[in-house]
Amino acid sequence: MIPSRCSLYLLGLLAAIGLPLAAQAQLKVVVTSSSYRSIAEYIGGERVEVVHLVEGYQDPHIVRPKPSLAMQLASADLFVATGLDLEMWAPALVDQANNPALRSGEPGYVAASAGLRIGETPSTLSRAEGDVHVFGNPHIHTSPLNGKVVAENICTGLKRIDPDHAAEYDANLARFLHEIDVRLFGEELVSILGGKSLCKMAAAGTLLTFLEGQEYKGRPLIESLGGWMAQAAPLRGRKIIAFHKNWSYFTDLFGLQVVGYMEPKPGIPPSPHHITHLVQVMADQDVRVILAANYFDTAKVQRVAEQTGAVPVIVALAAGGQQGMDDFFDQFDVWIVELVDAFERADAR
Amino acid sequence: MSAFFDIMLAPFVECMVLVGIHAYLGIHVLKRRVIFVDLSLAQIAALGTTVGILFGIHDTESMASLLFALGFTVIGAAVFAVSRYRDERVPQEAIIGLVYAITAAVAVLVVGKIQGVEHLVNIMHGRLLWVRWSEVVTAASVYLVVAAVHLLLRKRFMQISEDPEAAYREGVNVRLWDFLFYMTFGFVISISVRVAGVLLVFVFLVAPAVMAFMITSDFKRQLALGWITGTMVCTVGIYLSWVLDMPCGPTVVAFYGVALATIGVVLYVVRAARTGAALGHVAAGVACVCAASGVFFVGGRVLADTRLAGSEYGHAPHCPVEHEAHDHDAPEVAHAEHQVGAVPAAAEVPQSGLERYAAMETCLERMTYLQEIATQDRATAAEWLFLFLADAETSPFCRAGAIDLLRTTAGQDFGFDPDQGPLGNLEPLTRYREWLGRPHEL
Repeated sequence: MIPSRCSLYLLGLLAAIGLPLAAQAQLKVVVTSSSYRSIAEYIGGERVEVVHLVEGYQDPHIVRPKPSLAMQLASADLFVATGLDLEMWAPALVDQANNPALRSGEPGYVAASAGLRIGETPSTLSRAEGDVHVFGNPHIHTSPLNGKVVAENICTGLKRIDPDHAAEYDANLARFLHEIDVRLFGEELVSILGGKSLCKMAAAGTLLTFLEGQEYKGRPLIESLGGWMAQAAPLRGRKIIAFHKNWSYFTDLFGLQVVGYMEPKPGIPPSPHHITHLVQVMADQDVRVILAANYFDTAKVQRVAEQTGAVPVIVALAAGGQQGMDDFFDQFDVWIVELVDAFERADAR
Repeated sequence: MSAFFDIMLAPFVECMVLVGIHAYLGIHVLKRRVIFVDLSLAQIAALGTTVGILFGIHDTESMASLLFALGFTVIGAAVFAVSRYRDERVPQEAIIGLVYAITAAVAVLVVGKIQGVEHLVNIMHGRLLWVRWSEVVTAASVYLVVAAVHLLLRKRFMQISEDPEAAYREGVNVRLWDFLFYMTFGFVISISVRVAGVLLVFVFLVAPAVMAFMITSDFKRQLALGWITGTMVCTVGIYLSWVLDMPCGPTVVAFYGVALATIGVVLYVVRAARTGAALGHVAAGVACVCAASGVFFVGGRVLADTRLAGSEYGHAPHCPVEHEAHDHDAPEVAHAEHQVGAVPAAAEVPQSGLERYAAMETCLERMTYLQEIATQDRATAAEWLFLFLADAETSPFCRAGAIDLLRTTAGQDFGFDPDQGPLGNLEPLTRYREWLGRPHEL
């Protein structure tokens, strides 16, 4: 403990001396998930330097704290964590970094999930239910709608520690929110209906019914739908098996139905009975696709897929976790393309 | 029952294949008193696989990955052959243990470079439940080759295992033979550890041999006994895993423990000079175990309710809601606009119509509300429609809807252009306001 603290100070000192002046003008933002990174970069623009602690191909629940992680936090101005109990390792790391400004509730701390309506809050709390998240499902970055809230939270945090450039952050936030709208619904529909109304209906699950029932200038509104919502239309109502509850927000938004999980309970590895049950469910309900994050043991997914003739979709859970998934927006491109492709292949069989 | 065979047959056959070769090698290992050599070799093989990942061989079931594992085991075999001395000052077991600990640590470091902990967990516990038939066949063929080699060279191997002194005296190159032995051994281990994991492989190797050693000292009988007990334990263990729905590998390992204890007790009673006294001792032992369990059971219950047990979820939860609530500029208000998850707190308080209208977050809701009002109170609807059309946030779709509504309430559209915002509709807005100033027309 003591030598690591000392070396931390020492390295921090060295870093402070060694850094060029120009870089010091930048704020250092440390985020947990690589997905938050691209959002923070978008909002902070050139004013910030963003570092992430969890790679896109890693399990965000478990991160083996390395000295470098504490080092990053020691010199950080702002720390963005999910805020639910996803990153149980984060508070200890903040303590270790000895940077009190980043503690939960302090100005340098941003809970990315603040203000979100969190799904799947458990009614009973027991370790017997597996790795249950006390505050609900923390994999919030899997919905573009949640991305908007994360961006707003990060913007608030940046304005709090750097009020001089508040206008800049606000402008970037507005651009970000608009880009999400356009990517999600397509330019045309956003200009007709406005992002707010669209997001609200998408979150409530009423968007498609509304669009199908309305006309604008003699054309059904549904024909104006573009973006991810249109791309993911073939997924609506389809059934899948997921490994862990990683993509609940994603599946809710795009209307995929998760009928079972590879894990019998969150965080608990599959047992023989559970797999037989799953294979049965897949046969009964004609489930043709299995979705898993690439940090799980892919052999298990392949094995069940072979047994049931389903198509496995193994993708990174967060930005940077695989080729072509560099930022927050790419996540949805990759997930949707892979899933649509998997269903096409499964249906062709 | 067919589900049982679909899922459990491959793991069971794999277990049988493992028992076949490991029970035999286990006897060697016990005789050589290098009990932990397999843990070490298994860990070395696993390190090889891990290093393979570092080079981009991500599929740990691939041939390339196996070659990495085998390559590392050859190095391990060489280390163990070299570290054996005729007059050993340092017990070889110490070196074996060190090799295990060091390779395990290095594996953690290497894994830290590449991916999560799942790989490490797999190294320990294996994935017996997930074994494929192709893997069972590969394992069986490699083991057959190794068995053939051992059958051919059995004399020398047996001599060095049982009486190395004699071999040294005969002028045999013990180091070379050791290398050969550990290499074949390592080949077996690197294949089995991929499926069964370090723990299960260790138990498969040592447990049947230990049972056999307890019963007899004749090699052939030992081998036969090893196979028989191994088969029985695996059959029951796999079945238990199915019935109790528990992970395969750990169940078999734990059941080996039960079987060993049972055999030990039975042998003790059978071989005792006075059976009665022996039974008494066993009863006393059982009573002690029960008493200890009772103490833990009661103690655990009591302790769990005290502060010594800490909070249920360990580290103080990182709750955002509480903390963020203190922040004056917390962005909750902003969320309400975007409606992803904001809870509509205002909806619970009874409000006037205008307040309700103003509290609505999207123009679409407002338009729906206006349409509703228009059926009851055309004058109010007409007034609010003015606000609605003058609002820059009203979307073109809603503007078109409002203009339609205007035609029914006011009987005209004042020349509003639905594609233009309020700035492009200044004239129609003025005309509309003038019209509103003459209530008689309503």
